[in-house]
Amino acid sequence: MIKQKLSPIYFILFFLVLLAPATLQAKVYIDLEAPSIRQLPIAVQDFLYTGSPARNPEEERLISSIRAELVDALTSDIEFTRLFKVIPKEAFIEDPAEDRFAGKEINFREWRMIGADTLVKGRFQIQGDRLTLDVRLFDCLRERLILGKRYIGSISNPRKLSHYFADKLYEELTGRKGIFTTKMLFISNATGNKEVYASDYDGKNVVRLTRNGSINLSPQWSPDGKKMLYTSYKNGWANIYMLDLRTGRDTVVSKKEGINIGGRFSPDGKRVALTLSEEKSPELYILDLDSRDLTRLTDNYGIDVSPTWSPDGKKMAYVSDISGNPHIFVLDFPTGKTRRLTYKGKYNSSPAWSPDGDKITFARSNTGAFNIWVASTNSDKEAQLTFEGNNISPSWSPDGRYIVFSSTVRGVSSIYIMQADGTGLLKVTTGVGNETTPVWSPFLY
Amino acid sequence: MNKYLKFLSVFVLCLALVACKGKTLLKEDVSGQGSEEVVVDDGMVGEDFMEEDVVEEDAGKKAEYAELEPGDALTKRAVDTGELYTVHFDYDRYNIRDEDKDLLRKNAQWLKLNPGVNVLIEGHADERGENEYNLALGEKRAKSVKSFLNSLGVDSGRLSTISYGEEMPMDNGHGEEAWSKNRRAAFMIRD
Repeated sequence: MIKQKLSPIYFILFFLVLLAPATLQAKVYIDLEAPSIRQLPIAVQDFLYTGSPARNPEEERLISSIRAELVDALTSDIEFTRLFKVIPKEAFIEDPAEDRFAGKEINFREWRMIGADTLVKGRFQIQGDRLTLDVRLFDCLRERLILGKRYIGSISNPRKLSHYFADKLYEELTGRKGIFTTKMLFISNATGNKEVYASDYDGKNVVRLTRNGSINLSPQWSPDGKKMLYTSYKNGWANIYMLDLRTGRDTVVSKKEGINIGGRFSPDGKRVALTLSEEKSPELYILDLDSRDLTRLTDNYGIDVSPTWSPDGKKMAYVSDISGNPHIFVLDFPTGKTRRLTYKGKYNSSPAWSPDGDKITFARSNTGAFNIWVASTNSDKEAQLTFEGNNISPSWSPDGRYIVFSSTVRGVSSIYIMQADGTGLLKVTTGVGNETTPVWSPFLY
Repeated sequence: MNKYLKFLSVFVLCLALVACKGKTLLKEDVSGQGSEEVVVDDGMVGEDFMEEDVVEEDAGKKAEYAELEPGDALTKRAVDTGELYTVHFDYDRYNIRDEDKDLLRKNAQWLKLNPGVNVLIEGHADERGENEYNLALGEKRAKSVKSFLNSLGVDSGRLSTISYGEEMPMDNGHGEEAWSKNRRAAFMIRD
């Protein structure tokens, strides 16, 4: 009797334990840890304008250009990851004008027929200069809504709304933070002088940050993405400045005699690693931004430049020619010991520590051209990532999945992004021209 | 049996609630994100600009210098171009080449003969490699020239240095011919 009464309860409890994690936790659609990843088929339907009807051809054009920007930004973001198979629009059966936005209105069978496991639908409206975007991601196999969001932004930058949704979509499907709202800093001499520019990660939405007509170099993000360090000759000498990207306030960080170059924020943003020469050789120092205390890290006859902090702030890699040629060394702050990281190549430069802490990417030249390499920080493994052209200045995406760098052909430089294993090379078009030293931002939101 | 049904219905309700949670539309306001509205014009930051010395060269005045010998080439070069002899370097090196030491000895001799003249030694690199390393390389080149002149008895107070790295090439070409011209230390007369 007791047995008969208890067993169904046990059964239900067992059922609850089994189901609870599955319903509470989001399903992982794309497992980034998997040895080989099946591309997730996705359809992105043209977004439907649901605002008040256009009164003239001008409004008509605005609506269609905003639609194009919204869909293009989202589709480019999705394609950028190489984790999706984007179903071509020609295959779509459902007419976007039908306005089927609720899960129960959608004929998921039609979408499954064209191989779309997932579907993105969007509706937008315009009120004055405000743009409202409702966008939803559906699972066509389970016939359910995965994600629904509303974004309100400016009609002057519709792409930004799509980038926000792409971040959320990526996070929902992979469990990792998306990089689609991140940005880049880079240098271009398009005006005749090297000035600092910022753009979205995809090269769009370019803003010029300096306009002093001198030479501006080595832009670097603060860890919170709100400030920038850069080296400039605007007062005649190579000094380091800090620009507040929100207020435009520009301050001197270091203007000692000799060169003041290559400032890099510590992970906590309180200190800056830099190279100063004063009356000596170019040596590495750490400047405490509050106390202005300066600590010298190197002391030799050679060149010590291009520091990069480990993500935990306990180590620093840099370039030194102390062994005769430029090689990469790693200084361990707790022990004060320095270890040589590279032995190969005639010229190793511009190290950048990976966000996960166990890799350093750098540029290496054996004969003439430079290529991008990656070295493990806890073994002696190295791998060459690029093989053609002249490639320098690598910088990691904040999720560590991509590396941006500049590539030069006969003096004209362009920005490229590749996956961290060297595959999937993609040229970034900013429209500015002759771009060098791209630096990927941290996560900004 | 009723008990189990009750239990089951509560369970189903729970599931439904969990499922509904995922459907909530969250409003995210993208407006007011300050970093989009970058207002930058560092030409306006006047205070830092005024603190530094501005180097001004008087291009109109033809200087009169003491000559090494009547009509010598170095004095003529100083008058015509405002520069003394330039020396060049091997790739990624900052030691002075033996064949350039005579040029530097002439520069030193001339500077001793013209004690009122100060010079700015500009160190430069070719375009290969990274800007930062090249800035340091140009600095090392300028400094090694300065210390060589200092060792020949020219007061170091008369010799200032600056590095332009790869930023100011003499020749805009992209081969060894251009690069060898660009790896240099130039002497710019300051007064």
